[in-house]
Amino acid sequence: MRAIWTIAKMSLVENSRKQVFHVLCLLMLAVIAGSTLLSIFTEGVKLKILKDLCMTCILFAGAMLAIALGATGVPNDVETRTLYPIIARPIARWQYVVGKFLGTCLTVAMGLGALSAVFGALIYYYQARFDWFLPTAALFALLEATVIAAVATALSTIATPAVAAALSFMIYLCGTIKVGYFGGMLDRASSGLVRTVGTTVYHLLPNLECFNLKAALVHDDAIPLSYLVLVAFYGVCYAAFALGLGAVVFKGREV
Amino acid sequence: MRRTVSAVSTGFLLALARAAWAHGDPHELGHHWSIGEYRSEMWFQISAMAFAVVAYVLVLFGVRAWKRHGIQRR
Repeated sequence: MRAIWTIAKMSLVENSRKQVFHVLCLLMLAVIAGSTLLSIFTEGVKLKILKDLCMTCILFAGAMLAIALGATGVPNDVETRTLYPIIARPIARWQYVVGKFLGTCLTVAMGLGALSAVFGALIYYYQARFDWFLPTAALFALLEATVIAAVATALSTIATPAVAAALSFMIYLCGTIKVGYFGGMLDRASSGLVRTVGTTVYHLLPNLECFNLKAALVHDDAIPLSYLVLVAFYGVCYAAFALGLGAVVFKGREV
Repeated sequence: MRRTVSAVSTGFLLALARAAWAHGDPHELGHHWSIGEYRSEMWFQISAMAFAVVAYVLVLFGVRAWKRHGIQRR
């Protein structure tokens, strides 16, 4: 456990110095700040749009950070040869992969924490009370980023950073429209082969839509607790499965 | 020019804020918690992942047992 934590801390320091982390966070903070300029609407509509835009920014920033940091962690260490002194120590390869993943998650959590804090302050300013559903929505955005980070880390054990990032981004895009659009397209498919291949891909893709609690935050809707527990359990299972797959592949890989 | 830029950027921001304008349909509203398909898909994937893990562990144990058996016979 100590080995994993040490690698995670190293990864956190390394990731937090990367330009992509600072640029994405600042860009999203600028969009969040800019969304307050929508002054043509009445107060109620303005608040709804503000919540919607800010949650979109948080979800998007989480996904992009998870892809950019998760897909580059392991291949960069192989390229710069910093991996060799690490695996020469009594550290199992799965511990290294899990440590890298945890470091990525901690960095993403730092970024999302900053964005959520600004978002919460804005809501407090406009609503004159704190929205207690916001931490839940932000936590589920972090869980979505965790799932994407696990997929990106698993892909980075077999592919170059560019390929891993591109594949992760495609999985993210398809995952966010999985049940809503992809499922409907499959129902309309006439060819048997297309339907078989499509159904297989459909079931392999993560269901990322369910982590998006933006609509509940915007419309002040209540979500059943059982559903939230199921989504959290599903997220943890999917991330663990993807990471396990990555660790198994990395164990057998010659570096 | 300035008007075009402001119209395009406002349109983009409003398109992002789709849920704020949506009414009625849970799909359109993004109310996935009230659509059964999401729950069933999640349960299906959890079951498939559990099945894959159990199958992997069984194959791993089987291969180890077979190797051990081979060494003992030699």
